Amino acid sequence: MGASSFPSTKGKFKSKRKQVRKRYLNLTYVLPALLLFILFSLLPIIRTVQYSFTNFNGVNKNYDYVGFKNYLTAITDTRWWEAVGNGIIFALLSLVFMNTIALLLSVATNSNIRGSKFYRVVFYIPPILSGIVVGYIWKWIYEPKGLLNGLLKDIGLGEYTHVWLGSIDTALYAVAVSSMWQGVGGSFILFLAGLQGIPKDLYEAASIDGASRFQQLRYITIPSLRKVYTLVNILTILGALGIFNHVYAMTMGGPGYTTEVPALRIYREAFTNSNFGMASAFSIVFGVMLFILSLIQLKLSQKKD
Amino acid sequence: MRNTGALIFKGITHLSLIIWTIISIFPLVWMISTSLKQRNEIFTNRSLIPNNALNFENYKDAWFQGDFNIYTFNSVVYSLIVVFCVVLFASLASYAIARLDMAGKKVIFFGFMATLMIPIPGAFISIYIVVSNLGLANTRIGYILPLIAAALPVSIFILKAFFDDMSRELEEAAIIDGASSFQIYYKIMLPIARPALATIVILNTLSVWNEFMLALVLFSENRLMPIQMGLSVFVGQYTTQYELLMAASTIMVLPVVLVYIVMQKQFIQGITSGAIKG
Amino acid sequence: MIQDHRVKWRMFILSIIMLIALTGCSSNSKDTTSNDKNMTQTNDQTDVTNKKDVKLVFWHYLNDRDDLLKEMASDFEQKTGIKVDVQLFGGDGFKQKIMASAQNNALPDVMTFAGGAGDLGQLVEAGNVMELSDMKDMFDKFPSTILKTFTFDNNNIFGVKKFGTYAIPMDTNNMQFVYNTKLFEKVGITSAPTTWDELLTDVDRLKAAGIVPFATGIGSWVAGSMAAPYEVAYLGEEKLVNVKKGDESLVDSGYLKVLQRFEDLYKHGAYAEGIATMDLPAAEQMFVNEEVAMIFDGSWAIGVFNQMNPNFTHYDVFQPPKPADAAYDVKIPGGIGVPLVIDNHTKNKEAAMQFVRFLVEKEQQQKYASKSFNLPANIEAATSESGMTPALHNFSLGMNHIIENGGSYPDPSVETVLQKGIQLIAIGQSTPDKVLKEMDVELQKALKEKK
Repeated sequence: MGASSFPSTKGKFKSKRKQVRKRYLNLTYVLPALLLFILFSLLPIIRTVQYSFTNFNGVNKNYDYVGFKNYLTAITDTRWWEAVGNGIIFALLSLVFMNTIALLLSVATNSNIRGSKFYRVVFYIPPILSGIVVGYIWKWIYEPKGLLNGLLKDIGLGEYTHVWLGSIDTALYAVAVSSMWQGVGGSFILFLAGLQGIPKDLYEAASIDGASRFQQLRYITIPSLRKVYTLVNILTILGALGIFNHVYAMTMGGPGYTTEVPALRIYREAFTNSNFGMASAFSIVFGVMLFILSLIQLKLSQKKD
Repeated sequence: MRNTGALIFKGITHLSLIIWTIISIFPLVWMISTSLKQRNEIFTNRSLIPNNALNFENYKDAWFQGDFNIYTFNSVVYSLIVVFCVVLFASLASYAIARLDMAGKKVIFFGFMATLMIPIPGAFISIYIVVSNLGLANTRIGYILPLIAAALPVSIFILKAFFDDMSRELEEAAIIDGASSFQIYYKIMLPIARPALATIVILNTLSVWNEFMLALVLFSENRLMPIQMGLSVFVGQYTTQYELLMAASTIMVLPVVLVYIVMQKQFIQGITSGAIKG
Repeated sequence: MIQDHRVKWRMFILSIIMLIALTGCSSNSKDTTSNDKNMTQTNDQTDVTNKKDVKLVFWHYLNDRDDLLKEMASDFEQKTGIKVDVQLFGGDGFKQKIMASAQNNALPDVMTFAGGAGDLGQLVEAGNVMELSDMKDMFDKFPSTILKTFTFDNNNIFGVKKFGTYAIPMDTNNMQFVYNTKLFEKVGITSAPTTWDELLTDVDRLKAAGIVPFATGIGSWVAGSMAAPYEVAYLGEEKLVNVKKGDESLVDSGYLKVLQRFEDLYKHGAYAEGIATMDLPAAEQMFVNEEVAMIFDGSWAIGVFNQMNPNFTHYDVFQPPKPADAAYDVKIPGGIGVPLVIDNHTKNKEAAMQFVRFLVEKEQQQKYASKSFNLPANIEAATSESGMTPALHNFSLGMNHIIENGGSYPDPSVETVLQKGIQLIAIGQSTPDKVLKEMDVELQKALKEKK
């Protein structure tokens, strides 16, 4: 009689104590995860918090505590906030374009359309490629004499050729396109998994009632996907704001600070400038921002329910 | 009238799918084509078709220079163990968080969430210190455990969303039948969550397969290194051997595609079992 | 209820078993694969006891030289009976690996250090690398200026208090302009430019003939290195050091003229397209493809060019041309290419020193130079011209003109501002004035923080 483990069960007087015990016994379920989490995730975070109050250089253990100095420097640093701004642009572009494409693709391939199995495999290929390779490939595409300009010339749009990564007007968007290209696959499989969970009979009932495809999408698919949508949005925001590999491989933040992003700044402070303490403070500031952002997202989606 | 509309709709759908297919696989095609070229050809012949007849020498060179027989084996071992543990631990944890009455579940969940958010500079360095304090430096287990830990937050986050969404009816019926909470997890929740679990398997296989920084810091012996080590051999301080890099990458991509195809089957099975859900 | 408990315990036990199983598979990974290459070689030297048991671990990041280093290590084993385990860790992560290992006092016996003097200074202060006074007898085998790079004395700008010499150079390098002789001849230029104005005239002529004049890795650290010769030419080394320390004003120092040279090149249309985010390998590829006539590059480029296209040999080297209004001679950035350092906690100190000595012997250095196309550190090997291409020889002559003390900002972030500023100047999106002001703001901030 494991019934008492559910909050919905009406508890008799005697089972109340059992229920409390049960509440703690249920912790066994999270124990393995929690143990690993504490060792390898929480401890490093605590260390980071500790370092953020020091002038640690990453090597020498004889560091001094400097109070809130690093935090003060961090929040008054305009270049940092510009980098955050770039991250927000990445996030907005990804939310709008990447996730829309991913949603449409997943809806299309979730139907019995011919070749849907093939498409599902193909659409997940970009995320499979390793960061190094993707960086090289996109650099080749964007090069002044690269593929994109070659293509434009071939189709008679030679006047639109451009130095995509090396100009301040396009660099940010060029990097965004490459990272969204790789990110579509991830959102796609999450949406797909969500779609698989929608009972088929809902659609059958709807088509008997004469609902059009669009109406089915509007009144069945999208409402059923709301939870998954929140999930995908949060993961997208985290991914886009935390973008590193594509920037590192293609522009290193340049030209100037045009494509500077938070993760690159943190990396540079830690490993180029040996300001580990400073880098830690940036991380905490950034982490707190992301955490609040995600909470807002979660709260918003709960309100709709 | 309606038929033509449906036909046009279908046509547009197909066209879009084909366009995105091209966009998706173009870099892969390019990668493979480069891997079949000679070194001096890479920057002179920009077409997709190699000058000479297919040149598989690069694959041979990449395989041996990159020591891929060692690294592939290592990565297969790491992926299998990590993914298995992540699926087990994350599904247990997220089931308890989503479905059971449990002490401190909010704190635990937000704890996991927080690690998802904070980009720790050189997290691998902190992890390395913990691992070596445990006496596990330069061992496989010392690499596997942090990888599991790193994968848990996202996996729990995703699975919890799916568990949250399931209706309570089946569960309540099972409770009346006298099923324990673990039996419900095992017999009801896991089968229904198949598509989500398949997603977890895919995402985590991928991240283990592409992990390199932690391995680089943890291992002082090359023979324990994962497959990404094989790639790094071709990317140099001064020069990059593109043709070998691309051959090596092609070698590396194939197993993951395979896992993905297998997991797709789980998706399909998920549909049939998911039907009982509503 | 009981059943439920049992299941839970089962689960708990299961996870414990799994953890144990995991640990189990780690234990077999610990037994070192001592595939004993039976050491039947004659042990001709006997200053190390029990050589058969000594095994050195050597880390490096030089993936183009992995085979060569392994070959040298096996020669060393032949000679001394000391086995050296050569481990290559390529890619950008090597520096992080060193940082992590240093925190844990787990550095290898010998390694090639990746990073500058400031970075090494941190390891020195943390007690991770060995002071090399015991190898003093070797020091005169290298150009004295070279050893200075990683020697910390009471004047050192990095705040290192453990004075001494901490690295032995395996090779040396410097950075200069490299030009395509055929493309120059094509537009009627017969000799390399010696003044800045000549360079600009050459740029114009190349440009007029439809040849892209110049490329380099402006998108990376190279921007700062290319500025260095002109920092010295306009400010002189002494003033430069003071300016970087904050003892003299940056804005009034004449530094503006350094930045204006980058603007000159922009105004004359010298830069290749995409210069602002270009890295050195991309520029080198263009140079080897003969798409660009000049490149600012290091002596190691000779090896790179050779690897990209062995048939491309019609290029030569010239030092950064001096501007007419510069008060001092131009000097070039350079120094130790690959520094060898020894772990302070090594259990095989004697063997480690012996290995380092071996690597910088004349014979090994000649082999190294001819196979890797890098400048040997050992003077005897450097002066004997055997195995050196003319361009490499010209690079080697450059070693007499390297900047001895270019100073250092209190925080490398000022260098970042310079680098980013040059990127924008190179595409006409910023001006020398503006960049100088930004550098000054950053410098003042860094000075304030140091106090």
